[in-house]
Amino acid sequence: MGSDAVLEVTGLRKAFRGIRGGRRVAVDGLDMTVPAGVVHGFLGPNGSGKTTTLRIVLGLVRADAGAARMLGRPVPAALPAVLRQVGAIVEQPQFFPAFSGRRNLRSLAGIAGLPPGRVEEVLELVGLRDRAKDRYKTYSLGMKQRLAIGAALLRSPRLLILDEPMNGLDPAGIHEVRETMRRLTREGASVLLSSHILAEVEQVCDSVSIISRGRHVRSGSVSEVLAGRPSGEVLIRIAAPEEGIQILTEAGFGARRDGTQVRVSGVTDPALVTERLAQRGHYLAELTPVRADLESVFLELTGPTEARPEPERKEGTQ
Amino acid sequence: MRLFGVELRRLLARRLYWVTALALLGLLALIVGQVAVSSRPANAATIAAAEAESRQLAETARRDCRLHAPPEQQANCDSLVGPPTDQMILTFRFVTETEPFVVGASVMLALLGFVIGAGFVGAEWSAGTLAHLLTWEPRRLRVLAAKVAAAALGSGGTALLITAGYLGALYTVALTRGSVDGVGSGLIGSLLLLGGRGVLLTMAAAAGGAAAAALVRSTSGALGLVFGYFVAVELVLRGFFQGIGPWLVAPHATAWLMRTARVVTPGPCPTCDPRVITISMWGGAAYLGGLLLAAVLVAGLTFRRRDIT
Ligand SMILES: Nc1ncnc2c1ncn2[C@@H]1O[C@H](COP(=O)(O)OP(=O)(O)OP(=O)(O)O)[C@@H](O)[C@H]1O
Ligand SMILES: [Mg+2]
Repeated sequence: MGSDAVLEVTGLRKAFRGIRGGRRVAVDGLDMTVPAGVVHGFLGPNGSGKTTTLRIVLGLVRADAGAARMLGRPVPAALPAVLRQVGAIVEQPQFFPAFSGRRNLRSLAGIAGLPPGRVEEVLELVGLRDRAKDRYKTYSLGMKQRLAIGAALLRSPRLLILDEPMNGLDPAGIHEVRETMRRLTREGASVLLSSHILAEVEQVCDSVSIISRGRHVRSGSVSEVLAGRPSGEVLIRIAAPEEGIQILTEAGFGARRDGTQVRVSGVTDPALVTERLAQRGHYLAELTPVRADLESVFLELTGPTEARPEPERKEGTQ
Repeated sequence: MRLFGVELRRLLARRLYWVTALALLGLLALIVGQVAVSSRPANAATIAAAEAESRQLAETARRDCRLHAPPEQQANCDSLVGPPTDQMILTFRFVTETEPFVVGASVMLALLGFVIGAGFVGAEWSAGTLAHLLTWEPRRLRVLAAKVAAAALGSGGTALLITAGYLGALYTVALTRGSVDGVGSGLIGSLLLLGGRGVLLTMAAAAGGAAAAALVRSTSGALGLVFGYFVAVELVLRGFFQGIGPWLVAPHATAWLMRTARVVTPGPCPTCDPRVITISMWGGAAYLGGLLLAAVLVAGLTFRRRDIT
């Protein structure tokens, strides 16, 4: 619980009431600390409670138990003051369909008492200047997402909270968002990036918290937690895949067709695969180590029972 | 205050607002047109024409009578006369005939206000824009208050303009094609007060619509709830149980607009005389104000606690 944390949650808990009176636990005693000055990943499978956690700290959803501090102050109590320094997008934020992108941002700037010039800066930043006068409802998915990111940047936030911000963005857009996140941290701000995509977190985040079934699983720097986790799988390309599969199976590997390639599992050292095949006169055209995916990281971190997909957890009727 | 300004501009940018306001304006224009077409001023020329037509009608009636009446009644035929001329000239008399028009417009404006208020808040729920707004201004009671106030003031301003225009148009029709005899400051003052009470009723309806939509989280839900209530309780149930009349919304709204309302309820026994209860203007105001306050309070307290996902 360092004082330089921009977000700390402890024992956070939230159960939603189901249709027939059952309760679905979305966040289950979550502890998490987001350090200042970095891009922090918030990683978890679909339905693990990321969005719900963000909604709680932003005051949209009321927690059943637990406490949260944002920028050093208790939330939701201090939200009116804290939110002036926070930019947030939760899922896909919706704007007013009949207003142009510019007018939507101007409304928000008006509420926050920001000068209209700031709106123009942000429109430029997210690459929407040319379409700023068009109605929001005519925007493409990626343009809507850009506008949302623009809105989150409007208040020059000390903490930027982004829930799956890459949704719908083209490669240029993804690149721009990454650059923006890095630039913000260089300028001393902090970013919390929620995602279910391991590679995304690996690429941009300095540190990460992993959540599963509403509980904290593991956190630390990305290199500690995620990097160097070989999956034990390689993809190979050979002239006679069926024979290759047979040879490798006999040698004790798992092997199966994967498109035009063969997926070999149980590999501790890829050189062994090459060796076995060469001994029998088959030579590899290609060998690619398979990087750990979120699923396997979860398997490894939490044991098989915690793997995707998140099963529903319900409590008895109250 | 900034929030209120933003909300008011948003209200005025809504299509529902313009479509309903223009539709009502069109309807009122039709009514004024209809009055203008049917009204004739009572001057020498129209009176002479009416007398001629009356004589003509009398003539025709007497001729028919002589042809068809049995002999013993033929004597009566000569005494047949035409209709009185002052009934033949349909003059729109501003002094006596304006009030019902203004009352009708006020009722329609109140309906308009309710629909606008409900749509303004209901649309936010269905579009999902509320969550994003609340990450900008987390003080929910302020957010709701700004919306309710924007709905009330936007609708109220619209009602003010429409009522003033309507009164002006009716006066112009009376001036050019009807009669403004006897129009004095007393009458003008009371018509303006009536229009003003209509504007306030519209504002209350708009605020109530906004509160109802905040509570049930949709426009159609709010409209269904309130119109359903009026049909089920104030119309059907009241038909069966006259006794509930003095507690209902409609008579209090009537009292507010008309300065007083009389509600007839059954007497204490089946053969007793019915009882007449009079609701005063301020009684109506207190009832409606209390109802609105309760609706806004309940909406506010619910909205404050609600999970917005
Ligand atoms: N309003 C709601 N009512 C009922 N259940 C809900 C509600 N919102 C979320 N849940 C449930 O809470 C759990 C966590 O959902 P949440 O949206 O927080 O997951 P997530 O980690 O953001 O997933 P994703 O990666 O798909 O965005 C899920 O089981 C979801 O069905
Ligand atoms: Mg989510």
